[in-house]
Amino acid sequence: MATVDEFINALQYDWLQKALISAILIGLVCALIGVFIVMRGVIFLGEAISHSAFAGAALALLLGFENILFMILIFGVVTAIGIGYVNEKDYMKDEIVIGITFTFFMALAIFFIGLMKTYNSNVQSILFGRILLITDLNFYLLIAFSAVILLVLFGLKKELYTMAYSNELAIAAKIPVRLLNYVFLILVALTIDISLNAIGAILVFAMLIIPAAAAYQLTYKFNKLLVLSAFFGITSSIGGLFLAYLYDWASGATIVLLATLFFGMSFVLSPKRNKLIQKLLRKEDYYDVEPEIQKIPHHHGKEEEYEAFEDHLRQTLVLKEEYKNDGGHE
Amino acid sequence: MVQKLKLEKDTIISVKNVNLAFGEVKALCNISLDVFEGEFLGICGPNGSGKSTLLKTMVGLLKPDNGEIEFIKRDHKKFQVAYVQQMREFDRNFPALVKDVVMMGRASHAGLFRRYGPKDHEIVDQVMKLVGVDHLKDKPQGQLSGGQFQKVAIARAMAQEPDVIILDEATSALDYRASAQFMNLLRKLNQEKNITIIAVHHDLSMLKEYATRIICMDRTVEWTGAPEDAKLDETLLRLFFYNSPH
Repeated sequence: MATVDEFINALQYDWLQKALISAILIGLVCALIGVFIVMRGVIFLGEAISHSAFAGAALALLLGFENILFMILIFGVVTAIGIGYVNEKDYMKDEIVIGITFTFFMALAIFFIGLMKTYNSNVQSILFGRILLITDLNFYLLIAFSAVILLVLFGLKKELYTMAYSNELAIAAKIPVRLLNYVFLILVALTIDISLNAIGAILVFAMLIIPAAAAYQLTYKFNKLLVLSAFFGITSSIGGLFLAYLYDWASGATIVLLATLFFGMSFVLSPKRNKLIQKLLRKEDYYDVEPEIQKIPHHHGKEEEYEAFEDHLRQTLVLKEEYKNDGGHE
Repeated sequence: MVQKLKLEKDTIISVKNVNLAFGEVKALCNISLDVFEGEFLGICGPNGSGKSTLLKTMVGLLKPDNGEIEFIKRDHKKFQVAYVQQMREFDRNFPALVKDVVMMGRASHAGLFRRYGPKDHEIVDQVMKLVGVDHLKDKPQGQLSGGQFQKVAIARAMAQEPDVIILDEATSALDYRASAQFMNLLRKLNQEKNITIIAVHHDLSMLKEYATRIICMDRTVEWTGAPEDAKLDETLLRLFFYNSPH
């Protein structure tokens, strides 16, 4: 077991600096895009894309490629576009498409691994991640892709937010929903692909969902939700890496376990359901709707309402009477 | 769908020979109708008569198999259609305050890769006051009553600076009082702001009370005329009580 001092001393080394920066970037990007995934309710989309990326990694290893990231990117992005296309055509429910994609790529990955003549330790690192062994090329690609993803995500924030609220409203308002849907899917694929080396195909899904779900427990405000999700993502990444170094635990798993701990705490302390926290915060935001209804100024036009109601009753009676007279049955 | 400059007085939407089928089921059969500027058009018909399908086709959510819908405008600005759905189609846990929901009406105005500007905020404040939801602006949308929720939907629609507001059974989850309040609000916007309203409504008496023209449909336009026209009741009786259900 290492000590805290040893960790701080080790921070002067290039490999730990790269690992720490990678962890922060992955925590940030996954947490922010995760908010949109959770709001849109396409949770298992991430799972399907991560497994396709894993199949891409397995194929790259089978073919003996030096850098597997490019194959991961191709598989992830093509899968994301494919899911988007099939969903758009509305051939079947989204869950079925995602379920089939997820299992198909899992099978494909296992098939490729089975074809390998010898055991390849990289397979395990793709599955579970090895953030401490990130290469220079992958590190710089991670920085570049993270910058692009964050730029596009914030550039299209209001459109993606509106689409998450209601796709139909967005279409009616002439937002280019079809194009932005594909852009969003590609952003999700890129986020997963660049995180795969560091955190692994199985656990990257957790980093997309858990920080956002934890933040969801604590606020109704969108911008606050983004900030909280980013906070949980980054803190889990730094904390997880720190603990993994200290106790020689698996880094990816430690990061995810810490994020889950944050989720558990948020769930228990959520002012959305915890009355004690509501009182402590003294926030009307979290109370039931009834007190607010009483505060609404009295509506004018009551006479019109009564007249309309009278007409409504009369009309119903007239229709029924005429129907009876014509020999109909009630 | 086509947008062109206004040629004929008053007509702002022209639906011509629109057909739409879902597989074997014909939802819209050769629908032709004109929508006039500033009118409050009520659409009624039995379940499965294609009312919502017609609205969704007008909004652009569905593409007709053939025929066309023209949006006719006096100036060269983009024709703005605001759409208000049924309340139950929304996630009440969605993280948004009332002002966020109303601001969504400005999303397409601001443009891609641009933030909301001072003009957008100003318009949102104005429409919230106009609709009477400004006191709720910091309230989470999931904690609103049904009536409040639909008023906020109207504020969002107004923020879009629409030429027409299309409502699909927008009061279906509301009690009578809330429905009447909502319809009064629509009438106010229609009369004072000259906003054209197209509303599918389940309550015929309310539609007769508020609409300036009514269309009765059963996969095609069966009748159209003023609410006080005696033929309306005749048509309604035929459609609701004598025609076999789909």
